[in-house]
Order: sequence, then C-alpha cells, then structure tokens
Amino acid sequence: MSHAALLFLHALSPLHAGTGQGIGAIDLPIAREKATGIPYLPGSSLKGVLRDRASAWDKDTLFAVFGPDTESASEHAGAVQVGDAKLLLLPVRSLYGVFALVTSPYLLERFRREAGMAGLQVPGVPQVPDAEHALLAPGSRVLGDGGKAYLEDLDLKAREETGARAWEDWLAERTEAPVQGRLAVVHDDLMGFLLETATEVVARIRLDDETKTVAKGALWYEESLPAESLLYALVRADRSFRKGKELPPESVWGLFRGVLEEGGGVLQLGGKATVGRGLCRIVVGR
Amino acid sequence: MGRRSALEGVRLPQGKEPHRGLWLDKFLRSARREDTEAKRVLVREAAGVPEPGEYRAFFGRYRKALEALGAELRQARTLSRLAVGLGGEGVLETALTLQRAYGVPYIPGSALKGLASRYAHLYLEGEAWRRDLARFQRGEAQAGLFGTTEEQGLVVFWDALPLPGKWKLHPDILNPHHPDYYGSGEAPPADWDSPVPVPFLSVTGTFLLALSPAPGVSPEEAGPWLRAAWRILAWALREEGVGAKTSSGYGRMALEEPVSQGEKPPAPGPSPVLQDLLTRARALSYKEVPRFLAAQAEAILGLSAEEAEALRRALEERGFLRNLADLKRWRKEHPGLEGVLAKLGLLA
Repeated sequence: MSHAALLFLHALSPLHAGTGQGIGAIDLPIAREKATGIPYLPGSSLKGVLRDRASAWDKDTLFAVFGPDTESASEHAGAVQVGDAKLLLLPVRSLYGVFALVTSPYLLERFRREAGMAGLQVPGVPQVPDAEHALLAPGSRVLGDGGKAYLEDLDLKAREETGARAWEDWLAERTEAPVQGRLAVVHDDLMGFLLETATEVVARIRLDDETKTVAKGALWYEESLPAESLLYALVRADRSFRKGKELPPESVWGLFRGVLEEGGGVLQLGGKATVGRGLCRIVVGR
Repeated sequence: MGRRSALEGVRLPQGKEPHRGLWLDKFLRSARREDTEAKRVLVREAAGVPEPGEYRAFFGRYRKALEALGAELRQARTLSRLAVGLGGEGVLETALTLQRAYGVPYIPGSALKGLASRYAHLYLEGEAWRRDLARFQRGEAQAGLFGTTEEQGLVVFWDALPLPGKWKLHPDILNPHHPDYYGSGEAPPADWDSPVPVPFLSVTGTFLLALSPAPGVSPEEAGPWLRAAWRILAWALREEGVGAKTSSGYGRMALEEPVSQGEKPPAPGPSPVLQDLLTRARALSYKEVPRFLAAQAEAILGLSAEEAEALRRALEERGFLRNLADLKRWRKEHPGLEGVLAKLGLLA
C-alpha cells in the first residue's frame, strides 16, 4: 500500500516554468502539456527543490526517500513520486472585482480525479453550455452590469449557480487563494483561449551602459503564470526500497511532509529565480 | 460583431473594483494617434481607480512568504515621481508596469537588478565590477552578485510592491515641442511647431524591496553579497534613479535602513560610511589601492578608531598592505595620503 496526497501550489510572484527558447512570438514561453496546452510545472522541479532542502539528512534517509545520487541511480528508486503540478485556477483581469480566478469543467474534472486518488471529496463539476457563458457564484464580485462578466476584453453572459459557490467554499477552506466571490467557470474552448492569451507576458530589455537606451537585439518576451495562480500536484509515498533503511509509506510521507512544511511551505520554483520569479506557498490538501 | 463594437457601451464601473491595467490596455475610446483627449481621459480614469480591498491581504502573504524564505526587507520612498515600464506595449504607447492580478504599480526585480549591475559597472572602483555585455563578460564581483550566462547570481532581487495605502498615481504628461526634429532630424526645430502632449502615468509612494540568497545558496555565503547589493542599491536609487526619464529627475528613491526587529536596538553594526568603504574595498585590485585611499581620504579620516581598524583588517585580508616599500612610494605619489595612512595605523 502506498500513501497519496494532494499538494496545492499557490503562486505569490509570477511563476516561470520554462521550456527554454521558444520559436513563436514569445522568446521564453512556459511549459504546456503537449496534448491539452495546459500550463504545468514539472514534478522534477518541485522534487529537486525539496531534495535540496533535505540535504542535511543522513545519506541513507535522503537516498531512501528521494532516491540515490545520479551515479548510483540504478540501485533503487526513491520512495516518493512527485507528479507534475497542473494549473487549476488562472487569474484573469476582470472589469468588475479586479480579477477572476478562472477554471473550466475539464480542469475541474481532472482535479477531481487526482483529488480522489488522495482520498479527498470534492464538489460536483458544473457544466457550462457554451463559450459565451461563465458560471459564477451567486453575488459574485466579478458580476457586472447587465448580467455580464468582462474577462480581459471578452464579454460573457454570467449565470449564477450554487455549484460555483460550493467550489469557492471548498477551495477557500484549503488554500489561501482569494477565491471567494471570484471563481469563474468557463467553457473548455474558452479556457484554452485564455490559457494561450491571458498569461502574463512581460517585455524584458537590457540597456546599453553608455547611452542608457535599449541595446541592439536586447528585447525579449517572457511568459509566466501570474501571481495568485493555483496549481496542484499528486504525491505518492511508497515503502522505501533501500536495503537497511526499510521505511513504511507513512514514515516516508512523514519525512517528505516535514521538509515540505519547513519554513511555512514557502519555496522558490521554476526559472528566472534571481529576478524574483516563482515564490510559491505549498499546502497539503485535506 | 467585432470585439471593439461589443465593448463600445462599456463604462468604467464605479465602486465595483475595476482592474486598472485592463482598463488601460483595452478600453481606449479612440485609437486615433492624434486623439490625445481620449488618452488623457483614459489616464485620468486609470489614475483614479482605487487600490483593491484585497491587495492588503495579498501584500501580507507576499511579505510573509519572503520572510519565510529568509529575505531581507527594506522600504524605499520615492523622492520624485517614478515611471517604470514606460516603453511597454499598450494603447497609450506609454505604459506603466502594473502588477498583473491587482493592477497596482510596482518595480520589477529585474529593473532593480539591472540598475544595480549598471551602477556598479559605472561607478565602483575595481576591475571586478566592470562588465562588457556585448561580449557577455563580467568581472568577478559582477559575476558573483549578478550571475553570468553560465551561472546564476548569488542574490535574488524581488519585485518591489507598494505598501498598501502608501502610494499614489499621477496623470502625467510628456510634451515634445519639435517632433519632426527629434524624429527624423531633417526639419530644424522652429517656433511654429506644435507641442504634442503625450499622457502617461507616474507614481509616488513607499515600496517594499527584498533581497534574498538565491536558491541553493547558504545565508553565510550570500551575506556579504547581500550587504554589498543593499549599498549599491541605496546609491543607485538616490543618484541614478530607477525606471524611465531618470535624466529628467524621475525615479529617485531613498532606501531606508532596516527596521530593528526586537524591542532593544540591535548591536550597532558597521556605520553606513564604513560599509561603503568595505564594499568598495572588496572589489579593489592592488594597483588601485593608493587612488582609492586618496579619493576616500575624507571618509576614512572621519572613521572612529575601531572602524579604521576594521577597514585596515579588510585591506590586510586582501593582502594589500604587506609591501612597506609600496606604502612609502604611495605616500610620495599621493600627497594627502599621509594622514590616511596614519589613521589606519600604517605609519611606523
């Protein structure tokens, strides 16, 4: 038997989980799942940062939980598997209520599946009729005049449903994301569009030292998930495979959780770290 | 129905927390270039959007997370108006960097990092602070603090968010009088040219700056670099300014000393003057030492006995004061060095 848990990853500064050079209009795009285009942070990224934190442990425990060093990687696997962190809520600028935290039935459905593996009970997934509509909780602050919601430059017909309220309550209870009165469930097609167009893209420049104007060729575009994005990752703890360091799944999970929650669960993840990207707070889903 | 016509009737909602950045980006009434009135209205409307109620809570979370990561925090107050990201893309052609979710103005960490690196290159003594960006070369101290294409720097420069309720946006204006002259350079500037008012937004207020050791760097290793980075930032913000239009006086800021955490004042650390000297001394090469001592004579003579001792130790640690014959020669070559050397206890 193994122990599974769900982690919530809440971005407090823009999160740049990069892929290196892009060939499109954006020089440094973020990583997206090939088939769905949904942004994610590779599990290896999260695991690597935590392994680094645990480097003060004795070698046997470290290797048992996180796996041996690269040279001896063939000996046995680490007892902890960290899944990719997938996007659940994307902050999108709203004409009413500052911003909405946007998700879609497909994102919620996937979340429900993984939450179920970690033994969490989630509310039912609401359905959206078409890409013209947005489901909001009754009395949502995103709701504008004329029963409309304005996300970026899209005007959507708002429908107030208690199903959205149930999700707001559920998420607000477990995370610090400011989701109350702010959740918007949109059609999967529209979600796809927003995931492409509503991420944060900033122009970065380098100034010429002498003239203090932009140096030639030194303009590039960097994409990131904005602060207040919410992602989640499934973590599985197995019994340890290391000889002489047999640990049951519960102990492995306890060790992992300890290093995760050290320092209030605050980690810096993803790329462009030295200009302050990727400040995240991680909480374990209950 | 096109997007623009669908949004035509939309007015800025009052009292319903509109997003400032969204309003600026997408809701310009008239896109005609010469329609400055429409832009002026837009800028005024955007400046008038109040701070979102929930920003305070977000700021609190951001600050708490930075503290948990071991970041050092200091406040910086604007001494003049500040315009960051003026060249950014937007319908106004004069953007202001706004935080994505809450629409409040902020100073990106990358702007602070770039400012510090440039300042160190231009004004600090020592080859170690030089950089040649066209060839991707950096001196030792530049590489350590700011990183290279191969290796990341040792210090994180975090985005500086404004303190809740402690900032203000101003509708501002650029007013080139001779656009043809400045643009093409073909027409001479003349009295009959019409000024072209270009509205933009600037900000004043207090911002929270944060520096921390880069991921995987221990606090001990990063400590001296953090201190150096704060000194450089303090100089650069006051003298050079951050953001755009610094040659017109924009962007000057005063960096405050760290606030003491406990009730009792902390043990007195090195004074700012001594910290300046130590930071500069860190990057000196041997042949620059006499010039450094002569240039800083006033500051050095003003040090207390213990501080002079600390500076001497720092110089000795770098192996600078071993050669007595050189000391003698420096005294001859640089009049006025006598007093400095005496102060440092180097006149036997």
